[in-house]
Amino acid sequence: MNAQLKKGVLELIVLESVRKRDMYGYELVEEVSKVIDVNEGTIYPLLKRLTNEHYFETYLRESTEGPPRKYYHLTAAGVLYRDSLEKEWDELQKRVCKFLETATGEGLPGKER
Amino acid sequence: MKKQEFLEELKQYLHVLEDEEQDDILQEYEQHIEMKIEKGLSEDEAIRDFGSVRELAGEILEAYHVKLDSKDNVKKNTDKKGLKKYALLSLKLLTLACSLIKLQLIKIGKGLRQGVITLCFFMGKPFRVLRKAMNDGQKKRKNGEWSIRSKVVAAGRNNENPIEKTEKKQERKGMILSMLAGGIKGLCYGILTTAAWIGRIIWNSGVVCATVFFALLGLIFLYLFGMLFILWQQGYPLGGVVLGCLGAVLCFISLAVFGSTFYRNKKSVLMHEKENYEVIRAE
Repeated sequence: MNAQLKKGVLELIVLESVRKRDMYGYELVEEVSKVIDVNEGTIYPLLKRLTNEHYFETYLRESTEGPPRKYYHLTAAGVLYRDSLEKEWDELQKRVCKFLETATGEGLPGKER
Repeated sequence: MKKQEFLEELKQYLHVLEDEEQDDILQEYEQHIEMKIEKGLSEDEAIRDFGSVRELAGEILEAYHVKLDSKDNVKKNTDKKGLKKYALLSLKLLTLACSLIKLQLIKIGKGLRQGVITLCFFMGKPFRVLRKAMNDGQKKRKNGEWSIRSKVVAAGRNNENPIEKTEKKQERKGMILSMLAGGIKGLCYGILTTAAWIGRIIWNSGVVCATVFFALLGLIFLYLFGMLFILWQQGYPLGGVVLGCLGAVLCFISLAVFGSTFYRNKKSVLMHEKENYEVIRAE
């Protein structure tokens, strides 16, 4: 998939994943990878940015194996941001779909008649 | 590439960030690599999935609104120096402005003080005249009493003198009259003090009510301010409301403090009387 296309929706997918339940970094990477094939490295910077913008809160929790893990939790502001992103995404998707349909319709004049 | 190598390289790119943030990021990546190794991947494979370290670092720095330089080493120090210079200059200017403002304020304050003093002087004139008149009256009365008493004592000494008996009677009458006057004076004084006491109680209860009311309002706004401040910190656009709340808190608390200064103490009144008395005695 086009990297530029992915980059835009990645944020929405990450926000939605954390909204469902609090997750730590690696878990989140796996969750996102289920939806889109993404470079693992790009998720951590995104998490950092969203945390800096107060959409995420982090806390440490002990794990049965290895060192304590840093969990991400969606704040109230994060929920609002997610909703607005979703709305934008819906709008964009609709418009693009509509545009593509009309474009194909015009592209095939024989189909109109 | 080994894990340690990868982390070292990443750290070099991130040296502009604070040490704490650097450690935080590196720890996260280290954990990620370790988990991948646990899953069965080799160290090399786990790191290869991240792609170019430079690009990765660029993306991380983007989250802090820092741009990676065209050269490999990030040069932020020059910028920092420039910033420091600006900061120093602006600080100097600020202190200069502050001192100027301070001087002006002192001048204004002195002028205001002079104005208030002259205003008080003029406004207090009728009261001073009244007080002086009253003091004079009291002094005269005292002198009068004194002369009567000395006459009585003198009369007591010259008891045998028959000519002065009539005078004595007159003096007795004067004594009774002065006693009566004293009694009336005491009564009036009592009524006046009671009235003053009642007035003071009404006044003070009003003052206390107003003070408590404003203090409570201040507390409510303080609570609101705290709550809104937290929401604001979480990213809600509430900056203006928070500032408004802070203003209301300061306003109401200062009103409460201002109101409390109107509280009248009995002690202060007594002190005033005492001073008056001492002034009269000195005169």
